[in-house]
Amino acid sequence: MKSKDDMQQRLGLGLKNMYLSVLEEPLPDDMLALLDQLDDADDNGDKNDKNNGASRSDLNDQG
Amino acid sequence: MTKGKTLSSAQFKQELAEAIPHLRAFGRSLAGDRDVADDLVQDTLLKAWAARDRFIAGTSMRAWTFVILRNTFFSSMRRKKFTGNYDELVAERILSAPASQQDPLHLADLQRALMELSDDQREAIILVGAGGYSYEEAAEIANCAIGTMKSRVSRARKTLEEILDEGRFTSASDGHENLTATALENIIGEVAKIGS
Repeated sequence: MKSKDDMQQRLGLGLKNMYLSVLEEPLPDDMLALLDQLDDADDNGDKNDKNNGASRSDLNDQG
Repeated sequence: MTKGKTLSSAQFKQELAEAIPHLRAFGRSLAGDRDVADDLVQDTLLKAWAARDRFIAGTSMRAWTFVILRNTFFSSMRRKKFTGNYDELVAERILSAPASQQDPLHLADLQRALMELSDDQREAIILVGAGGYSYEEAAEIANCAIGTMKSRVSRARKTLEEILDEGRFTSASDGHENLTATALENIIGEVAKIGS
């Protein structure tokens, strides 16, 4: 019969392995593409801001 | 009161990109489903980007985005947009991951057992037991007192032990409600709104 400490240790290692296995996965392309898209949208927004006099915070006020 | 320094867009983007693997791991453990978790991460990225003026340089991007992710998850759970469930395919893949210890836990069982916990307890054990956060950091992310966090972790450990020892699974870990189409539609809509 396994001791309580042994079970705790196995549980801790199991949780860490589960978490690490996801960390080691390659990132989905669509997530990085989303960041690029947001960055591009910002650049375009900045250009429009200069033309229209709007501030960036107007675009960001979403909570 | 002085306002903290903010990051440039490029710096913010880089730090946010570095947080993505951790967001995916946290989201997957919380939601128990790969696709739902990835939708949750995309929602989090959108919200973080929209609120980036509020992120203070030198503070933890991971902790900041974890707060956004868990708030999104719990608020969506209330609206039933995301549903915590057990993903058998993911569990099988996790099971095939190399284990460094002798006599490892059956990780598919562990994933399933996590879904038997209350949301609060699952979040607590993931942050402290899997993510390596201190009780203090985890309490800050979960917006609760340190004592509450300690209590949640302790109860989660006890419950997991009992479930895994006795194989006491209920139907709570079997549900499959996939509402990701709505999440994707929201993401596309948000991007269009920011870019317009």
